[in-house]
Amino acid sequence: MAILARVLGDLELAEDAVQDAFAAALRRWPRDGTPRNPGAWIVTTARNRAIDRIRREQAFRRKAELLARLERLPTEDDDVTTIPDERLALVFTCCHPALAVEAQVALTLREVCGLTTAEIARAFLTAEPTLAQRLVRAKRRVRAVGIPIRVPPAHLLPERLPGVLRVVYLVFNEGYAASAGDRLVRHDLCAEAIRLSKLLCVLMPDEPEAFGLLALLLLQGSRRSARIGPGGDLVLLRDQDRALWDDEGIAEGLRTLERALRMRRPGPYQLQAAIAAGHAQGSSPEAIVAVYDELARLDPSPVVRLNRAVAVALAGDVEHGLALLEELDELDGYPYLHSARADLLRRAGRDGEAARAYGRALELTGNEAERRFLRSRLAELGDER
Amino acid sequence: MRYALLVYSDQSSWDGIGEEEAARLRAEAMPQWITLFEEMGKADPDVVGYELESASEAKVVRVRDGERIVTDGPFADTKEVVGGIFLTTLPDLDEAIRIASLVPAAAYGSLEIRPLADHGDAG
Amino acid sequence: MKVMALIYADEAAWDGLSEQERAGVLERYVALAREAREADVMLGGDELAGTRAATTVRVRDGEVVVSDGPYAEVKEALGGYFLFECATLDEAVDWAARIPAAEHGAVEVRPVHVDEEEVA
Repeated sequence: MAILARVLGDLELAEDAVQDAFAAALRRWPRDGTPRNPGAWIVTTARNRAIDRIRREQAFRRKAELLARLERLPTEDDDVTTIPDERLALVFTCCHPALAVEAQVALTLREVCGLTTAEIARAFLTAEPTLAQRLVRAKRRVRAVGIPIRVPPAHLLPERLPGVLRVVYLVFNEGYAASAGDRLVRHDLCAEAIRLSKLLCVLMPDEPEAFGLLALLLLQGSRRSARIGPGGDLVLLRDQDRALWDDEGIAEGLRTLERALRMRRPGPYQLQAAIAAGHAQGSSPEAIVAVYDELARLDPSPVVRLNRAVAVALAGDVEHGLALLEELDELDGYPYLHSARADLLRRAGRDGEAARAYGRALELTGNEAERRFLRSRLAELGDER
Repeated sequence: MRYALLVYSDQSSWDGIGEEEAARLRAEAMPQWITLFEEMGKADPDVVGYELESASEAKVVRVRDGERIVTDGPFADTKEVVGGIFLTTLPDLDEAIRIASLVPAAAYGSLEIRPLADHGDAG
Repeated sequence: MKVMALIYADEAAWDGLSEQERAGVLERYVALAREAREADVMLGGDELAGTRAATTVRVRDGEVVVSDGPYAEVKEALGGYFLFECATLDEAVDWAARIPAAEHGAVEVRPVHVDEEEVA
């Protein structure tokens, strides 16, 4: 699409054209098999559609010039090994740090994944006109501020890649632990994120963190059916029915993680994947704490420290885990701090404090399934609300 | 694309320090400025930069109902105020970000990148 | 002395104007610039794109931090500037008072540092 965007000089027109072509490809490839040169196929199809559209829109400015530039695009028979890079360029444009994060997510789903505005709006429980406006503003901003449509040069990659991975992770998380709405897991968004993550691995085969992220998503995703009980309620890891885990997903996740680790450049996503792998394989709690130690060293963010504190408690030292949680004041607005704290207090037999912490988590949680879970915990402690 | 790079910093940190100390701080930052000017000149030989005098010397002019109201400035009541402007033509935002990040004030203040409007050029 | 007149105005008000009203305002700016040039006072000026097109860059702990939006969300944002060559600051204030935005926003007049760096 970025090839098109470049020759058309107009992201919106290119987007509409490729949108159609990419969607068509996704529908056709599973049925007809992948064409010899998928990248070229997309560009050829998109070009045809763009030409159609320009022909239809008589009033379109620079029409003749645009048509001439389109004619010069490579056709399916040409050697266009650069095309994956062109797709990647679009990913980096959509995930540019000069765009607000929610704009990055919406643009990526629209331009790279080919979701319609209506689909994205539904996925994020946003009114369609609101989302459409967000997209229009974001695209206008891409042009107005001069965000380039290209893969950043090598020296910029290290600072730009994490932003791209984060957008994919956000899409997955919104599907895995929906922050609003009454369903806990939205499989469509999880699947979209995994697909996007695979695309990044194809496009950047030398980036261990891209594989680390894919492994993480596969491993977490493999448990998503087990995370919801019969009534749509949250089931915690230790209570999950392992028969519901997707063994193929786990195997693929483990293979992907191995490939990432072979590159010997560990990063936060690889370590999180290693932890998820530990859970999937039933590693000892001590082994999981060891990986968390490494992760906290690379990424001492509060959320990582929260998870490490829980791991420490689960490995047997509940008091130490609680002490570590006390250091996380900056997460006071984060419901999982309070539900984790409540859980550890309950294990320590401090029921009154546990109930107060569950209550605080309940105040902060917007997801209905999680709220039901927290209320059931409160009820167990004799607190009905 | 034509960009304005607005340099925001807390100028009050320069108040109350002696001339000698100010000269020392300037000299300390000099190598960074030289790098910046080299990189700016390479990216756009026609770049210009204006360093503004301290905001305490500013006047703010308003005209209300035909009457002129002049007050001592600066206009903004934020701690950091505009202390300088660069005007430059660069290929894209990434290059503007790179250049902006080389401005020494980016490390203690903020650089705001604004494209120039493509109409009604007052110059 | 070189003096910069920084123009602060409410962008929402500008967005609310009709095409015709905008053309009228722009015409007044062009006329003022012409007059200042004829008086040998005008050194330059630019109109900035709105704050919606702003990007802020900071370097913290050696890392470049990029965020969308202006340095500060304010009602009246910097929208452009004139650069005048005047004998005194008062003369610059006189010119600044004639900038259309002075009638609804504000114009800040600031001398430009003497050994101003012109990178060439």
